[in-house]
Amino acid sequence: MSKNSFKELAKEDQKHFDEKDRKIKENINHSIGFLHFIGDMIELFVPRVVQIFLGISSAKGPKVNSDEDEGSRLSDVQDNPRYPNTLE
Amino acid sequence: MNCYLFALLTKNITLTISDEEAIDRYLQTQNQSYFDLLYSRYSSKIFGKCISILKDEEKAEDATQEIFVKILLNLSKFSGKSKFSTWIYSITYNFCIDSIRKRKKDKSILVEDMTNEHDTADDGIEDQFLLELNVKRLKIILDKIPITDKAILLMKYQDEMSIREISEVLVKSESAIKMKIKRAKQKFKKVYKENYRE
Repeated sequence: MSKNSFKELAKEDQKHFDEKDRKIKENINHSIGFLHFIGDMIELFVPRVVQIFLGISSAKGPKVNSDEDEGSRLSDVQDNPRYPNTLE
Repeated sequence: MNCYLFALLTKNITLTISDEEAIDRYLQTQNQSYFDLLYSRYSSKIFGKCISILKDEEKAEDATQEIFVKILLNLSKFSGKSKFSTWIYSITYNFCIDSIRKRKKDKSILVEDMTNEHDTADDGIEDQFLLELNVKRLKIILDKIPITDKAILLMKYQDEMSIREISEVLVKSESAIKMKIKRAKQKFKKVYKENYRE
């Protein structure tokens, strides 16, 4: 087998890896755990936030556009006094 | 006993599967053991490359960690067109070169592409000269040449990547890569002569 000093250099560079291996692996696992946590949070809360946002926007919509509803609500107010338990 | 046999069997299966299979299975099952398998196969090599380029154990440690997180986040983007090793080495080299650029703003990297573009003569440097060099001397000279030249020589002689694979890593044409290798060898020889008058 012919000599390859580059491969020998690679072996030399990897010599200290065993001492560091455990620490590197632990740190990677921590990073992965953190990313999973962030992913779970997004999965859990983003759909709710979107739902709330849609709920708010759909609730506002009819109020602005329908005049009929506004009229009927006014008549309701006239029929039913604002403070039903007070004497007039 | 059954659990022990099952664990042993699973371990043997995971040891024999290819990188590509391990990636597929990891993406399908999110089972950590498949990622651990890839880690055990490549972590020492990546650490070695980081230490070779960054020249600092602490930084190499941090870089290895970040590179693996990057690999994990981009695993679904691995298309399988190139070998998995080529793909992760490309992430490693680009990460290390970028971090050195940020750290030092190495002028040699920035101006390198502008020099000797039209030089097309044969370099006349035998591969044998590089491959049979004393390891200590090789290390010293590699540390003295620009980082991109060092990276390209490592890709060619240490990782034994083909010209096509290197061109994929550095996103350059194959002819540009041939030229870069030639220039890197010339710079290596020049620095060698300056240090060891032979």
